Amino acid sequence: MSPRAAAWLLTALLALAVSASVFRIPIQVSDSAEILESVDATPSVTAAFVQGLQASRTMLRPMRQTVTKMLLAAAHAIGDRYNLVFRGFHAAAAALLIVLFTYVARPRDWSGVAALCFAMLVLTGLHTFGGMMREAYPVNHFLLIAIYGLAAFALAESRGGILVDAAACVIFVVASLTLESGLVVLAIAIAAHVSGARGISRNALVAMAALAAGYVVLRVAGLHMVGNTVGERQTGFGTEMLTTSELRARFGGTPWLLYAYTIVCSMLTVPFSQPVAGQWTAFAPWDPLAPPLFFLNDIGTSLAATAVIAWYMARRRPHDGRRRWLDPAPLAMLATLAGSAVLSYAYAKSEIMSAAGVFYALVTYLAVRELAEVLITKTRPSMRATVVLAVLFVSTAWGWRAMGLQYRLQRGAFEARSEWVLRMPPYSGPPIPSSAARLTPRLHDEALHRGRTNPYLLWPPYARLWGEN
Amino acid sequence: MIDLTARRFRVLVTAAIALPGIVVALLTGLSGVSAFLADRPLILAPVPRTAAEAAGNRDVADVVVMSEATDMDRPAPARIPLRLHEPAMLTPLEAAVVSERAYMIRLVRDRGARLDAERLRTLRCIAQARKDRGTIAYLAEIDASPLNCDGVKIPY
Repeated sequence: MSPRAAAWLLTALLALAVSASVFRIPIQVSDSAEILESVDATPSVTAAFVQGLQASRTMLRPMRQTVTKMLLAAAHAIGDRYNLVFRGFHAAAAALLIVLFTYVARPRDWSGVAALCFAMLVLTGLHTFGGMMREAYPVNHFLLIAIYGLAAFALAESRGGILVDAAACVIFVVASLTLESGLVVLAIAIAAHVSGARGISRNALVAMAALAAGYVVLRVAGLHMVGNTVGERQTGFGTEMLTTSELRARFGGTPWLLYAYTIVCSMLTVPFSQPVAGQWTAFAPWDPLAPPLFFLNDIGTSLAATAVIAWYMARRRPHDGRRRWLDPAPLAMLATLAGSAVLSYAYAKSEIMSAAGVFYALVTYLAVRELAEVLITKTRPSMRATVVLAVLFVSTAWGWRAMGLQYRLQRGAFEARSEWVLRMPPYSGPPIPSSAARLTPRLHDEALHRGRTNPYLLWPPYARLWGEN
Repeated sequence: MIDLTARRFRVLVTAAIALPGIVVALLTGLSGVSAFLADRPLILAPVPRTAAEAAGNRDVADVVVMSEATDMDRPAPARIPLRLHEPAMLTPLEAAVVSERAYMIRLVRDRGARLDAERLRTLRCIAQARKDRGTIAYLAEIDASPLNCDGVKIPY
């Protein structure tokens, strides 16, 4: 088997693993049933897009409604099989992200394949990855942004041409109208260009910048939208998770303090796995049900990967002596990290940083590939056994984190399925008034008869070792 | 000290980097195939075998589904790892009390379990033995009379 075939076999297995678990999660009641009903009531895809333009004063995400409408049409066409279409779309998107990752990494030799094995564990084991997979709204737009970001990077590294330029502009428009974080696609394209990747031309960058200006005009002058302010959503501060009213009371007069804190914490969460959503959960009061082993593994593995990345970025390229941090992937990672963090100024959320997590894993791939060569050629004979054991220890710890994703996805299926009982009458008020609930009975029926799993039947410490009780 | 030649060291370092990823890919990938083909992942996705097991493990969806074809008063073996060290023969209502979730007691009743005075006494005694305030309060709303657990056998 050639290294390239081995890399694609590994990719196929992991794509299958993640997408199968994603597919089993039923459509949720929360964040999904209401939007499905309201979009289904619109007469066309255009009407759904217009509804998306007017849906909120702070969020400009009309592609959410547009994609939902298109998927609803597909579901109606095959006999109202909503879970098959929506969960199938989510699963296919998850697989596409993993395939794109390998396409961008392009391992060519066995060292590259080994580095890819490690990087895949980092990709799927990071806490920011789970957020892209576990929930949907009813389409997971964070996952779409990560795909758009990686696709833009692949275009930037291509040979270029008019089609590539056009594709880059289309991706930017779709991404920015999917989620505010989609603006990072422009940052990725600029970073890649600055670092020497010329697949996306200067003219295309100018066009994308003009489109970004148009986005701002549409948002501010056209739709009179405003930015998020303090207390619109809960977010962490220190070791606490503050409610919206607590946020207003504490930061109403000094919002910049919360914004600065949230931006910095969002930037830290990818390389250090802490804080999570602004909350330093590892330093919260001792909880006997949640032993610190989980945090030790999460923080320790992230420190190891980040140290390797820092080492790699500080090195010089052999042929021209330029620092590695100016290469396309590291610079794109820094741009995504900073851009996503700034866009999440009002509240921290792991999912917002998920695209940055993907680029972090990509740079990990490059760094580990180079580190392997350095270790192999420079390690003193007396240290060789120690080095092998240390490497195996770190990669096994990342393997444990990656297995945790599977646990979390099964738990996500359990919780989404349970919601269809506990968040419905007679146990809660109806999520949608019964007069408007045309799809809900079918969604309820589908959810109860798919994705059976119960994480509480596992040996309890498993869950604790993956940070859940 | 282990003597590693340069060639062997190259192989071992590469393997040490790759091996956990290969193991995870094989384990989860094969599990994914099973999930796609049979809706049954091979790892990390156990399912309740009985309505009592579902009730004991907070599985409201399975209680609803299973209640359509199950006698909701019949005791059955139930594994409840969060609460019991060993599996026990429990009715769905007893398992619901063991789960320490009041909503589960309500759901099991709604799905057809009968609750006469003797059964209620047993449930109250289980809740008392577990010292769970939520289920004690819920059952006290149904019957607030003084509780005497003499002669009541806790079924686990």
